[in-house]
Amino acid sequence: MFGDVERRKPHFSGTVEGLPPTIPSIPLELTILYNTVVLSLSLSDVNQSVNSLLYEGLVRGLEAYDAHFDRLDITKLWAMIFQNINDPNFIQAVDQLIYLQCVLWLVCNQLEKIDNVLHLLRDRGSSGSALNTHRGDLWQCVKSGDLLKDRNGSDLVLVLSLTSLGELIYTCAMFLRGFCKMEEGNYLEAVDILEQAAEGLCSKRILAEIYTLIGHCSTQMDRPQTALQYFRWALQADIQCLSALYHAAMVYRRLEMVDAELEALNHLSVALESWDQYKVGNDVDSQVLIRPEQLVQIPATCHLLTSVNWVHVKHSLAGRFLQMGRVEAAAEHYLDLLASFLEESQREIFVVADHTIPRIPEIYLEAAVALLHCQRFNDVITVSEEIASKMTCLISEKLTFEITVNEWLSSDCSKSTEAPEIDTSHQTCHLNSFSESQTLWAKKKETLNYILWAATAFLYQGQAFALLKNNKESITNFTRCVNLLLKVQVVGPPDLGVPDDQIETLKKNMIEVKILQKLKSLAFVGRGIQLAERGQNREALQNFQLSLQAYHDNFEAVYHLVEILWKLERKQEAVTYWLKQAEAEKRHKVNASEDFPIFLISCLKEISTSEEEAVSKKLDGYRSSFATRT
Amino acid sequence: MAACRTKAVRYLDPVKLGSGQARGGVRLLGSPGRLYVWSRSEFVSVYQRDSGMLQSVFKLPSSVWHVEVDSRHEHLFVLCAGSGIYSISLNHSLVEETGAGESFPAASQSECNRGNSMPRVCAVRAERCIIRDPAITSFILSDDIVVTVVKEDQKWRVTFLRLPLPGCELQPCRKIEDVDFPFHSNFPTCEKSPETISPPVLCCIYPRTVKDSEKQLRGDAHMSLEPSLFSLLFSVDANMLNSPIILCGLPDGQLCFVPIKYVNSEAKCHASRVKVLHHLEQPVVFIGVVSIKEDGNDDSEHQPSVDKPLIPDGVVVIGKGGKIVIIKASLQMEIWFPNFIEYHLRGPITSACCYASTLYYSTCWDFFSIEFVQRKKSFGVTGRTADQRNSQSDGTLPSILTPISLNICGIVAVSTPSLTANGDISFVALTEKGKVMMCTLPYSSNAAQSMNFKAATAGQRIKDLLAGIGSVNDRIKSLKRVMQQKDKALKGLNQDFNICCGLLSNQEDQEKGMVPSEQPISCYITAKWNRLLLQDSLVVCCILENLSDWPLEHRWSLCVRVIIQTSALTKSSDSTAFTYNFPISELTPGKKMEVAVPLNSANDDFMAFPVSVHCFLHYNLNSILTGNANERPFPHSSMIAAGCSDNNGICLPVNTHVIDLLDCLHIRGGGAAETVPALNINHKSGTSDPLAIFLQSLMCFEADNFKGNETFKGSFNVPGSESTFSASIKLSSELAKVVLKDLGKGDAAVNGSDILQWLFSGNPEVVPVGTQPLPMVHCTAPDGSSVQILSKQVAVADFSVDGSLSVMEIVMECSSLTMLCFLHQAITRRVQMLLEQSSPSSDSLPGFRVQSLRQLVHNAEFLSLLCGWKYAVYSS
Repeated sequence: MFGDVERRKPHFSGTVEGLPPTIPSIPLELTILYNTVVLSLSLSDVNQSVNSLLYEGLVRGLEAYDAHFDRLDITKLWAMIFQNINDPNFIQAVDQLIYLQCVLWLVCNQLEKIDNVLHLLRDRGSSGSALNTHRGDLWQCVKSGDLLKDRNGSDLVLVLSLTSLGELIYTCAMFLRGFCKMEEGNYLEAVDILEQAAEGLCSKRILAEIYTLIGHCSTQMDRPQTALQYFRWALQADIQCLSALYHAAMVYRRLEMVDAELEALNHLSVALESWDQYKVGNDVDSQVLIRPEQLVQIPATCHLLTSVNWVHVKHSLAGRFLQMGRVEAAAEHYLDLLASFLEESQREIFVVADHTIPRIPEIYLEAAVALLHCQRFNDVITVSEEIASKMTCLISEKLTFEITVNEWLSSDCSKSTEAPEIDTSHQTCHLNSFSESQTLWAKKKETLNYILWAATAFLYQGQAFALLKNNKESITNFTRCVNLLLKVQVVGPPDLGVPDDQIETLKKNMIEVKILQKLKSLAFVGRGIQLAERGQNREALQNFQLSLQAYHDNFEAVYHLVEILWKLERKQEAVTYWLKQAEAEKRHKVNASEDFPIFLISCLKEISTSEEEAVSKKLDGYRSSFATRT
Repeated sequence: MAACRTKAVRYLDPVKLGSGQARGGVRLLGSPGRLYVWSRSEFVSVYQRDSGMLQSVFKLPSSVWHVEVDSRHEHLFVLCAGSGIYSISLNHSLVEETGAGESFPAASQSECNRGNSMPRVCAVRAERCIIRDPAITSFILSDDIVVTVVKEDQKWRVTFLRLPLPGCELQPCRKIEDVDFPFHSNFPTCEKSPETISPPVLCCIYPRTVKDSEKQLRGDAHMSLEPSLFSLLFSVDANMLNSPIILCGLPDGQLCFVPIKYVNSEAKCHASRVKVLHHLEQPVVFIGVVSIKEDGNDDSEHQPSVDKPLIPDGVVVIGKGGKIVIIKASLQMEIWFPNFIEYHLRGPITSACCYASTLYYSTCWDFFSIEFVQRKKSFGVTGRTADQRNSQSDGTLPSILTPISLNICGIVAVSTPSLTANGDISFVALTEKGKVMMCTLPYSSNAAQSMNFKAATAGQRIKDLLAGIGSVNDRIKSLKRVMQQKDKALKGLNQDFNICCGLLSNQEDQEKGMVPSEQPISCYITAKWNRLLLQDSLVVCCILENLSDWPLEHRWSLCVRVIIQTSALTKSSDSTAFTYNFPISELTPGKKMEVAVPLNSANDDFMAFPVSVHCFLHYNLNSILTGNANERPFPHSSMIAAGCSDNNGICLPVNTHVIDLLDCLHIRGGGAAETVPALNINHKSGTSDPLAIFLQSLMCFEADNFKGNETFKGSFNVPGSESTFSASIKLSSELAKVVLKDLGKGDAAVNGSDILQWLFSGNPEVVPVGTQPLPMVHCTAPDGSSVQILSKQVAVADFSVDGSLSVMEIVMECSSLTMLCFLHQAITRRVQMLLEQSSPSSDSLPGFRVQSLRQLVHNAEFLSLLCGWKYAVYSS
């Protein structure tokens, strides 16, 4: 049906163009114009030409009445018409076009213009005396259809009645206004207006969106339970409103209701997997010509209502499972994720929600950790191999990583190893060379990331081989990891008078450097353990010492160091190390490991408390015996 | 070098050419071995690749701009001008839609030539249009996603669409996402029509995957790139996501990329999905991948083989103007960078293709090949150490590219090359004349020499040679054309140079005050009344005469600049200027050309005098380059604004002329006698001071204003038609003698009619009237008011110490004060010129108070200014 209309449109206007406008024919022409525009809106091909079509129609109507108002703004044109022309048939036709123009303005988000015109409409009848001028009443008039009434008994058929068009305008305008209030941060008012919008003529979809927005406002106003209630209503209104489900999950996360959160995320990921079919089905239905969601255009920068990213959902689900230690489930989700990456034809992966997904290699690493915990060692090796192979060709022989002043100025460093963006607000006179050095620095940081990812991959590979009891391969991989990490040399800025001790603190604060040192430490420990297993105690000892050198707070290293010292009969040394460690632990009650990305955190605690206590007891025994002896 | 290569060229049936620029393309479909050729007509021809037979022809609703082949689903996607993208299933459509009544021109030809059966013509119906968007300029396929590029107002829009699922092909594509990004700032917006700018070049690059099965699945049409360069250019994330990348070379010179799979992983920074890699500063015509790194194999033969293709490790981007950019990974400052290396070749380049480390490209005149890997000659093979090899295999590019001519001309499109069983490179090319040829080139020179001549292959060899002769013939023709064009251009340039020299030296002479020798190009400017559709209009008529020995050709145009001092009357000396441009088709020596421009074009109500008219010749530099008479720099309509100030041409002033009211008076024939008495009466009453009249009229206006009458427009007409304004100028008899000398009447007694003849010397209408010289002229000013000028001899006492002096008095009378002012100004200007002319001899006039005369002139000018001021006051 629509296709027919599309084809006939040019034909129709072609016939009209040739004829001079006459008073009897104008209502018919304008009604046809109205119907054409409504249908093209319904086909959702709104463009500038529709706007000019309306204007031309109006001008043509005026020509019939021998009135010329050249180049006037369309609002002024209407004002003139109301003053000068009294033919009810013409006015009725013009009224129809006014509503249409309001719809077009809705599409461009021009609410003020709509307000102006509606005032104009109301004031012409009563000249503004009887009705009070409250805006809310005006909108109520629009909603109830009191402002413009459909003409009864006319033989000119409108495809969409003015009453329903008015209701449509009401809903959309309220929606947009509420949305604006929400953007401004005026949540209370936003909720108020949005609730009014929900009372209007709504499609399922727009109702769900309104509820989602109200829910979001409630969250912002710290009313999580209300928010959850609205999200539920949103889903009841339209099961496809997945953003409501997603936001509900986020509220559960805030409330620390883990099970509920995971369930919501799970539903979400399942729904998203069959999203394509939903969308196809969605396009077919509807008896309604214009649905409100066709008219309201939410700015692209706002991701509240855009459909949720499957990758993001899947990843946060997997990440949550990993954090909670439900490694089996985590591994399954991670594998799904990786499979989707490698899939030939792709579900829509690139829908952007405003959430951070870590860099793709980090997702691979997280997957490797999850698999490692599930003891699926061969899978760990495969995944790690994939990362390492992708990275090694990008790594150079040596990397001198310079800590820049910029980094020094910003005291808190970026929380994850994301690709650094180039900050442009600097106070340097040599802006050109500075920005050049900035890009160089950014690229170096990226290369550092490559090294860290590859080293982590080797570390996990080493650990996997270790757990597979493949001693030799394990040592090889740990050595690879260490060699990679040793390529990086962290230096302070050459020419600035930053004291050395400050550079040290700088180095410590920078997350990349921290990860680097931590990885080094872990690799040395790993290699040490393997060497110890092979009976090369001396080399093992050396490795443990190097590990401690690289990172002081490594309890694992201390534990193994003490053990090996004990084995080598250097008990006194063992005791000193142990005591030092105990002291240090007292001092740093808060563990610094929170800074580390998720792929590194979960492999940190390796020593069980029972083992720890055993060593403790052993050493205490020795100390007491030593004390009694002396 | 070129001689030792042997190549084979085989011609297939030609395709029908579309109108407009010669453009087109060739696509190969691997497994059934078919060829798809289009050339901007509405046909896509399908050839069998082995036999070269024209198999069938698809007829589309409008001219074909681009074709892509989906080898996996055996689909053809065709972009048609002004409608969108059509999908043609290659399996079914042949059966489905045959026998459309249209006859294909090549079909009958082929029948005669070879006795083959007619190719089937399949008309593609409108339902097959799966993406309806007339604005699409280019598109590409990546698996089941279609990426289109549209040029909007100020931006490019890249749209991703999903192809309908197999089985429901006729459904329209579903849009997934739009990405916008701006034009490059240097790109002129909205200037050219989409027909003339080259379309964006798209290229889909896949990351290399470990699985071999995928590689086979994709076939040879898919490009892949070495992972390290891929990661460096398009980020590691794209590589690990296994995302295909769409590289896009735009007509504004930007080279950018869009990943198909994309996760916005960079926190809080909503980076655009499209990233610009490079700016080429010229339209991009080709993007491809090459292998730069030398193969690590020890065998000296770098023969590529079908089973082990080289991994491309460089991206080649070619601009229309001949700029080539090669992108490769290189190690700098401890880190790997994508390195952009630029080369320059002679353009314009129309099309190109790559195979392994060889680039083939075509200019209009020839086809070239370039090797990126410099192969060592055979002596180097034994002596090479591992070190040397390492340094060489690092992918050092030659510092200068040396194209080798392959002697094939007129290629507008080439297919992607493929390797034949013998190890030769074969590709299909489309020429500008619509010929389709299959070219086979030996991959290396060694292979060419080892080709042995056997009796069995003799037939083929002769065929090849004949085809070669044909191609040489073509080439000679095109070279001849180039030579002729160049020759013509040089000849023209020589002529133009001589004309320039003549004009310039003439100008220099004038500046030095020397008597100008005869001007090589002269321009005679007059004002003329033109009667058209019962309406008189004033035109400036310029007659350009070529007195030089060289013709003025299409590269020249005559510009007439009319400067009207409108606002001189009000405030500063602002002026309105109109420039008219008249293309000169050809003006041979001795010929004249007449052009006319309207004088009262600004506002018809009022015209201010004097008007200065500048004539100059404009030389268009663009036209030398194109050498094409059809491409006019300006549209044929004569009106352009400030066309001569543009910087793609040279302006040579020819003549400047000031047109005052005297030149524009419309002389009434015959009516002189009856007006004489009236003039005399008026003259008697009007001998009073002009200032008095002026003040009188001013009072009149004020009175009118108080009455609140209509505003005044046009000239000052004194209410009451009877009264007129008059003014007079006295001219000493000495000066009058100079006038006579000018007129060539020698020492005859000064006569009133002579003075008038002098005044109207510039007026073209005076000639028919001048048969009977009268001391008075009755004429009409351009605004319709009547003007009378009388010249007579009177005696004055004030000016000379010697007592009474006989002078000529010029009395002018006009019903409009404005016109009177202009007239007065015109006459004083003439007198001023006369004074300047006679100033060296002014000493011979004893006691003549030149100073006082000049004072009078100044007063008069002030009067006219005053009048103008008043006009401004009332008209505003």
